[in-house]
Amino acid sequence: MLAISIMGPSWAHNLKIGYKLVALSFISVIIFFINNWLLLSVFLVGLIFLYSSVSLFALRKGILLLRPLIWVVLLIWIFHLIRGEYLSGTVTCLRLLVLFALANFVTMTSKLSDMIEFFLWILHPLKLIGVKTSSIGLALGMVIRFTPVLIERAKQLLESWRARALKHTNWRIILPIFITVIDDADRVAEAIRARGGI
Amino acid sequence: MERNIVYIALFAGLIAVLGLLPKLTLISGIPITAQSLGVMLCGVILGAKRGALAVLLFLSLVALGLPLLAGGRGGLGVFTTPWAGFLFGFPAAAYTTGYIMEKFKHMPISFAASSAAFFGSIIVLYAIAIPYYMIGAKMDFFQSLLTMSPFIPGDIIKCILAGFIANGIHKARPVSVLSWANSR
Repeated sequence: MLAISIMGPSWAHNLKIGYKLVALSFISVIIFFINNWLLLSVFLVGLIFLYSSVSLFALRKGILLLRPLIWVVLLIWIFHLIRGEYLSGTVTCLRLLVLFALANFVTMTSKLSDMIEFFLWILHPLKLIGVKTSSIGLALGMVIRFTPVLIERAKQLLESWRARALKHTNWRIILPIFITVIDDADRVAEAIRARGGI
Repeated sequence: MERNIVYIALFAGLIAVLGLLPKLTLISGIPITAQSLGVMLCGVILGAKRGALAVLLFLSLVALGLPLLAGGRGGLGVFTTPWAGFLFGFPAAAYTTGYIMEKFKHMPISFAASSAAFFGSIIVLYAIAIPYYMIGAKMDFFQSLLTMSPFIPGDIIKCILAGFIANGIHKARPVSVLSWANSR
């Protein structure tokens, strides 16, 4: 499965995930309260340098990630302009871009395994309430493993439909997909039980 | 017990896969996807608690950086956007959907599922997402509603689809409809 994170050593990759997330939270809160469009633009330019400091590829990917946001930001900006709120509109849009790009930077420079480790560590206090964190780890791994399998199953069923029918596949394929996939899940649950349970 | 966890993981994966289906993107930036159908089904099939857990599992993976949201989006960035209200509302939507589904146990399943999906994953979801969008994009109620109104017909179709799917699963694998099961 493709992830948003990019590979390769860099100063950002070498920072511990906990520090990055704490820094992200702090800076995000600060940015949330900044209402000066000039300052926010400086932040935006600073982010360009931040991304470039990792690599030019990182900068390109960062801009690519921003693309879907640009349309919304434009729309929001136009909405504000129509109402005559030039300043508030610009500030809101700049703030959105900065927060989004900053958060993506952390995601981009962190390995999934590190993130999962941190996530499970953060959930430790739940053990006091009696929640089994080992189940959460298992569930996380299962979803990551399952998702490509689900896609495979759907492809198999689409293929068998095409092999047998003259008409194109239509929405009726959805039920067989669900039932097949539920059967898979039942088998996995049985297998886990056979091996001693969770 | 094992089945609960496996089903939760399965439905979390289903939300991801449903996001992969081809979508229609509108100018407001929010794509019309089948993903919210996944959230509805979490509530409808798994019930309130398990459904919400499945959605939380899905959101955790998105936060961890996997591009599981429709359009290959993901990471921490999406939680900073104005429409993150939908993301934060998803677990509540699944819970409400599941709760209503469990309460409607003695009604015909398509009706129960569709109405549960409607009240949980449309009414409750938008009740959370719209104020969040208003605050994040600094727009008033009617502007926000305008931006989101194109999605509502699609969501209503998804409710009906959820009813159809629940009916089918109940006929073929009644034991798997955890929301209506007696045992834990």
